Amino acid sequence: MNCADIDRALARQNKLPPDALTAEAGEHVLNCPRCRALLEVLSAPPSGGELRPELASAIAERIGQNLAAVRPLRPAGYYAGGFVLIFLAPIVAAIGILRASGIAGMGLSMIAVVFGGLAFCGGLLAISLAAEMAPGSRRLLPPAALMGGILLAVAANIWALFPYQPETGFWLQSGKCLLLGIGFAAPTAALAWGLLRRGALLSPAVSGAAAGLLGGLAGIAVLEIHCPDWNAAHILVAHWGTALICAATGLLAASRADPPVRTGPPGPVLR
Amino acid sequence: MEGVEQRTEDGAGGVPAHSLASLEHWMSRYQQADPAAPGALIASISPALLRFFRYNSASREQAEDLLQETWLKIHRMRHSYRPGEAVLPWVYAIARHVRVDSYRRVRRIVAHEAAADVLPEAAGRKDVFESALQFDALVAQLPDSQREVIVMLKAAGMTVEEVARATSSTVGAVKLKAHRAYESLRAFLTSRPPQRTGKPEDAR
Repeated sequence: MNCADIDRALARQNKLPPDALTAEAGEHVLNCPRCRALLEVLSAPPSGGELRPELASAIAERIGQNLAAVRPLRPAGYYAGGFVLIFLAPIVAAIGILRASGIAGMGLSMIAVVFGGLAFCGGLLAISLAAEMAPGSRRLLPPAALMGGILLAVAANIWALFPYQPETGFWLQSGKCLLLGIGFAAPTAALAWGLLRRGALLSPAVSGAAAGLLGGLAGIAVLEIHCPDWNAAHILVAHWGTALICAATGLLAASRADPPVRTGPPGPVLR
Repeated sequence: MEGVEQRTEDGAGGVPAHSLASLEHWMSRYQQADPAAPGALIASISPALLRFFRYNSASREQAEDLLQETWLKIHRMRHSYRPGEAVLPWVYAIARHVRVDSYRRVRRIVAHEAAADVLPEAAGRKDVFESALQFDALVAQLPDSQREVIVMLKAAGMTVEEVARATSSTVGAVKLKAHRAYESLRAFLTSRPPQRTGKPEDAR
């Protein structure tokens, strides 16, 4: 056993100060001044947490001035279910309103891959959005990584499933699809944002991007149901582009909801 | 205030040996507007929060300001705590956002100020170097993301799972940061201080 093994053993510990190490590790620590010093530092009682009683009372008094009962958030599953319903609503509406020219030409396996993939991504995003509402919630992945992963996965899915074909009127057709997709995605994102606001938005920009992406995924699903153009370039630009534009718009719009950075003297002021 | 009276100082970690169940109890009472709840929560959580801010390069005065901001934010967001959930990840998720916001605010102010004079060194930094082998001296050398993890583990007495929740991360990522931090701390202890590369990460 060497110093690197001690580092690994420490990293496996669930908390600090570390619990007792194995006999082999203990023997190494006894004979290694560097490891002994590291363990001493990590095991020493922390300092610097002396709370002035007057500060504690001032904070308590300030909080007590407008203490009112609040209704806590419901369980995360309740809100995740809400986001799933918001995600499904435009798809159900599209089936009722638009012609299903896109899905009509797909085989069962293709339907399963395209819509199964979108449903899976929408579900993951719904869970992440529900976690976003309560600080300190358990995460499957950091939100930014999840959103990036979803966008890449959907793009890869399109690239793998659909052929590249020459197409006349590419930009006109893509523009129409983009508008249609955004037309369904925008209200979906707005509804998701409305539900998100019931929680605590510590990072409005991230939450806004996630709400936009949820709307964008719904927009892609609507376009896959309706649009008969199977050109991969068209699907990437117009369908996948819907999700990208909605996520970016959500990020920018929600950033404006971010509390402005104060330029005055920092801090509240209880002295 | 039963929860507070039962609390003792844990000599090993210096972390208040608060009963997590009592924190959850007081948090629920806080949501129900029990006037005793804020005081109980402030008394039990604030010392570790102060340490969290101080180890993350704040002076005593700055740490107290950040503590107050954190409590005001906690008060505004108290409805977002779900009864039965762990309290510390919820509190520290808010605290780290307050810290990052403060860092941005200070950076923006500094960027707009004319460089008329030499800026004072970051508070406490010099002392930190002089008190070699102290925990705060060592962690001050770590990149911000690693320092945050180590400080939450040590100063707040949180578990790896709780740190992952507070930092919107995963247990694997927290363990990796901890491992790198131990390597860096060892390098510092062997007089090969690693280059300071960190700045408060964008937690948004």
